[in-house]
Amino acid sequence: MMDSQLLQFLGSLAAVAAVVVLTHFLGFTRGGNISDEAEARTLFQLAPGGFEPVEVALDADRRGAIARDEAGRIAVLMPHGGQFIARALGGDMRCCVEGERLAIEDSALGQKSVALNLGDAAQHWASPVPPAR
Amino acid sequence: MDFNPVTYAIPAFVLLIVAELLWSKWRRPEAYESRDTATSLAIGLGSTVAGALTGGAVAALLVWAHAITPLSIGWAWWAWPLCFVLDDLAYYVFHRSAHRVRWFWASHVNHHSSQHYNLSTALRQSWTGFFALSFIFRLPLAFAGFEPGMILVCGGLNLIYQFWIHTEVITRLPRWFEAVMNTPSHHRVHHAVNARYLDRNYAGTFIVWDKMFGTFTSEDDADRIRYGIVHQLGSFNLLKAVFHEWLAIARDVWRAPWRHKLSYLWREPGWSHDGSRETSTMIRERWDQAPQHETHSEGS
Repeated sequence: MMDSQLLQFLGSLAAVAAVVVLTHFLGFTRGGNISDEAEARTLFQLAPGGFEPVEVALDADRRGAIARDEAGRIAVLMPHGGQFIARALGGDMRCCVEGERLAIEDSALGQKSVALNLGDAAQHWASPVPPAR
Repeated sequence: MDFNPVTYAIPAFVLLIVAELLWSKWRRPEAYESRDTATSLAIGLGSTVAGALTGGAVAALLVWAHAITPLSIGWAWWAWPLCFVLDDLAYYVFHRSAHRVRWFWASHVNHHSSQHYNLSTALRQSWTGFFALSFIFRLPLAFAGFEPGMILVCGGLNLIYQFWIHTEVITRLPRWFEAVMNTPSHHRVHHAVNARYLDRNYAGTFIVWDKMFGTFTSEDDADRIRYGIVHQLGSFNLLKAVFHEWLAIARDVWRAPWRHKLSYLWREPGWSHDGSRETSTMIRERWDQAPQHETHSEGS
């Protein structure tokens, strides 16, 4: 009984390894892209607690985005494999602009940080802006 | 009866995943992501170990319940379809509880933790179902006189049925089938995080339970489905996927005032004593009240 269960486990383990290797070699490793601003808005609206963006900027490579809502809150879209996750940032956001890149750290992002290529708009997003009226 | 149909279905699961991978390569490359698939399959493998460790105890409990009840249906042929249908009803009750009671959700959430929806997602089965006491939903069938072996086989067949509906390859099936059975379309709705779809379509095999109990929503092709959980994990870490909600419960119970501690176990996911979080009901209400969706609702 024990031997057959062990054999079944080892067989399943081998099958898991084979499928994962196949997935890798078939090219399912590339990251996702945000197609346009409309898709970014839809993704921002899925942020926990809700988020209705009034201003959105996409990363030049479409691998992320940043948005502001009417109350002046900031949220980001960060890549996760082929998908994106939306996070509304807390009050402890730290920004750093290097050329056209904006790097963001925040407790809402945990250990991760977000780097976005926003072109000329990088500095604009780094500065605190009063809520839109 | 020492027969687990799921064991015999595993090779078919693997072959179907390979077939879907090849189809996705040409038709829908965003359907799979290698790390996501690795996590799904590892969770599936781990769940078979958890099942092997606790399966004997579940069987013993069913035998005990069957032994103390004065009812005995036996192995009559007609008992099989009846047991399958009633087991599916029991599954509906379990599954609805698994989404509406945080204690059961903590065990079930790993099934929803992927942002992809493909056949590998189906294998994200629970490791902690026994600890969460999920087996209590099957005990009424044993008390009603059904043979424990029959209950377990029917449960296994139900699980096998649910495998193939985790796919985007199939859009819609014939109308009569969509009306009665759980299908890929109905189950995509169940895995969605779109506000309108939250906590809908709990069915295992027969979608009629959702229609009877008011939890059915059909898939709207105009509203692209996004998969996962409301607070997306953002991690492929196997242990995080399996245990994160249990840790979150422990943290909430520890921090909550005494009179609210138990509520963090039995209230719905997203409930908080200070109203700082959102339940699925609150998210749907917020979505319903958004001006653009009010217009949509009126028009639909």
